[in-house]
Amino acid sequence: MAELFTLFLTAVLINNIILSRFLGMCPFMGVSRNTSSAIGMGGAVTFVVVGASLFTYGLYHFILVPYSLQYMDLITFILVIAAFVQFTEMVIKKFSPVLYKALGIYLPLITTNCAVLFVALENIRQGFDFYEMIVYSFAVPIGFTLVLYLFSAIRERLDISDVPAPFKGNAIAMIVAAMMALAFSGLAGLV
Amino acid sequence: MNRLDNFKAGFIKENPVFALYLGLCSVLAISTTLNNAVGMGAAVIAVLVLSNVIISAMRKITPDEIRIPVYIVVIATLVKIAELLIQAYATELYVALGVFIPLIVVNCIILGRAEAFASKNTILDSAIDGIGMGLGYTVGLILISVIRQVLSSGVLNFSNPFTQQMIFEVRLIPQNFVIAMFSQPTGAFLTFAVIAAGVEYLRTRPAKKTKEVK
Amino acid sequence: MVKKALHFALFLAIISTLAGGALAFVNGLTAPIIAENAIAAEKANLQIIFPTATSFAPMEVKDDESGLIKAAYTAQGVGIAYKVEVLGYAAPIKFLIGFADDGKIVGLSILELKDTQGIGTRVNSAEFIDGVVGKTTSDGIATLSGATVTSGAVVKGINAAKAHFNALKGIEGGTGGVVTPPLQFGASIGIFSKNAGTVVSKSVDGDVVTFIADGNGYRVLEGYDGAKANVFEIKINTATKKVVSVKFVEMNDTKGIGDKIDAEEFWAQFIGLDITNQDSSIDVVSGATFTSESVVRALRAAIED
Repeated sequence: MAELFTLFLTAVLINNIILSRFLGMCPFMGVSRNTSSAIGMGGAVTFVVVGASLFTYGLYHFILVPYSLQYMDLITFILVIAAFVQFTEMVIKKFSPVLYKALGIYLPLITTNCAVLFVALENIRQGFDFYEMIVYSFAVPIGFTLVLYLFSAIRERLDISDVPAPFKGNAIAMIVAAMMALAFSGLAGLV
Repeated sequence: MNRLDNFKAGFIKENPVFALYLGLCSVLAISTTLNNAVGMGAAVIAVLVLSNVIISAMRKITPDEIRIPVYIVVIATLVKIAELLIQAYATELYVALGVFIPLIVVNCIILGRAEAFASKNTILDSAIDGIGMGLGYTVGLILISVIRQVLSSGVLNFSNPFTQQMIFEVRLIPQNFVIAMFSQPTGAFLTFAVIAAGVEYLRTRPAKKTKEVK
Repeated sequence: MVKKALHFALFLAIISTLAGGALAFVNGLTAPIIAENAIAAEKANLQIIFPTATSFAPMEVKDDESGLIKAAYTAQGVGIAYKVEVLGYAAPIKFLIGFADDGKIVGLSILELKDTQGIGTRVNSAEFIDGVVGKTTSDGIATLSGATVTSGAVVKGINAAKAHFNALKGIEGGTGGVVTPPLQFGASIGIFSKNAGTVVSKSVDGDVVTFIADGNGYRVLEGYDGAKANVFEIKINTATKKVVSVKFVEMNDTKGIGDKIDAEEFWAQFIGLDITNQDSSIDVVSGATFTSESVVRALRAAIED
């Protein structure tokens, strides 16, 4: 139990998917302009990551391994993810058209969000058992949402500040990310 | 846009890394040493060119509605082949790049170019576009890697990925003056930010000049 | 509509099959090379651990409850080596531990170690390795004092490998656990050789007088801001003129170093010390000399009171 908690904490704070592993950057740059869309994006990503992890984990252990088809992992995983994102898109469109509109192009882009494929691959590479896989696939997108939210809050203020022209937009965002990464790296002593 | 212009665009105006901000994940994570940068760059160029060529060759028979899954299958297959080859023949590179090799599949550059260019242009044009974008990515990656490696370790070296033989090694900053932060995420973000700002400045400056002249 | 969907499905199926075929082909080409590479990486290390072995093969590790064993290799007819990964002080530590078929530890090879130079890195020196190699899989292994986190992690990993090995070979008796290292003593100092500290309080109970006294230790002598002297409880039997007991009340020196002296073997030196004998002496704990001396200062204050 303690190990699961450590796994959770490590994935959320210490090896944070954005600030420590640099994954999930595309929405980081694009959706983080205001806090509400950040939360919405975070929620969508969490749903996709957990769902995709469950399916890819099952696929790997119940089909690919018994039939010695491990080399098909990349193709099958990414197809599962693409299908699941499509499904998520339909669900969101039906239940929250507002969110659907707000997320716009970034919803189908979750398919190419490195974070999703990363979690699916890591579940296999780290040899997680079922419970570890569940904890990890929740923890990573929670860490993602956390950073995305913090970042969007900062960016809301950044947009009305006097930033030097070449730095406007993405470059200053990167500097903010640098400082956040520095702050988060101090959490390494937590576990 | 003629072929040469398109090729050149991949470097500055539409540099996938600094202008389009695509493929950032791998750029920031891999850029710790020159070896990693060259290895990753080569893999990306290979996959990008081949996927552009294959997708362009298939563009007339690929049904529009399922084009994205088709592109994904093509790209994923190429990436997996690359991964297996690297794992077998350049094991050190494989260990260094780790999970970022399979993550080339979701490198926005590749799918982006397939969708934006290869699906609408001839095989040769697509191949050249692939080389241009791939080189732009690699050059950007090498630039960041060199800066980070030199600032964080003081040494710039390069070894043959297949034989692990050191090809050159030169110390540029004395050991006491290295800034270890640059091998960390913070340094990665900082380096990228400064270069991105520089590129942004270069991109917008000539426009201002012509405006004034007129 | 249906025809179109069917057309799509068929197209995708054909593409996927072609892709799968290409992959299977490349996989067939590369798989043997990759397998060879896996052993090759460790082969050099395995050969050092098992110099007499001629061939190695990877061994599948099942039932590893610790989760620390990453791989295992059998050295045909000689023994088994486990590749273990544990979390050290700051970063993972990877090492190979080799057991001969009879259960003796024949080698420890640290593959990856990124802990503090001079502290954690001591596990990669003769100091630690000599205490490991030669033991059997049922003996306990001592951690390194002053590098407890790193060495403790490595011992935990070795024990995990031992447990798997013992289970495999049917060796009973456990893994011996973790042994705290014996205290190491340094030079001998006379109990009147240092300046006296100060007595804080004193209570008399028949022949035994209990003093609470303090003695300047490392932090005070080195001039650390806000440093306080160490405080001890010292019992002296005024009839026999011998020390009854000495123990800590307050340890104000460096954690992990000063408290090394808080051990049976150290305090035992004081029991029965003749306070009238100018030559009475005790041995300091090596690595905690100042703190050891602070006890002597406090004791002198108590004696001279």
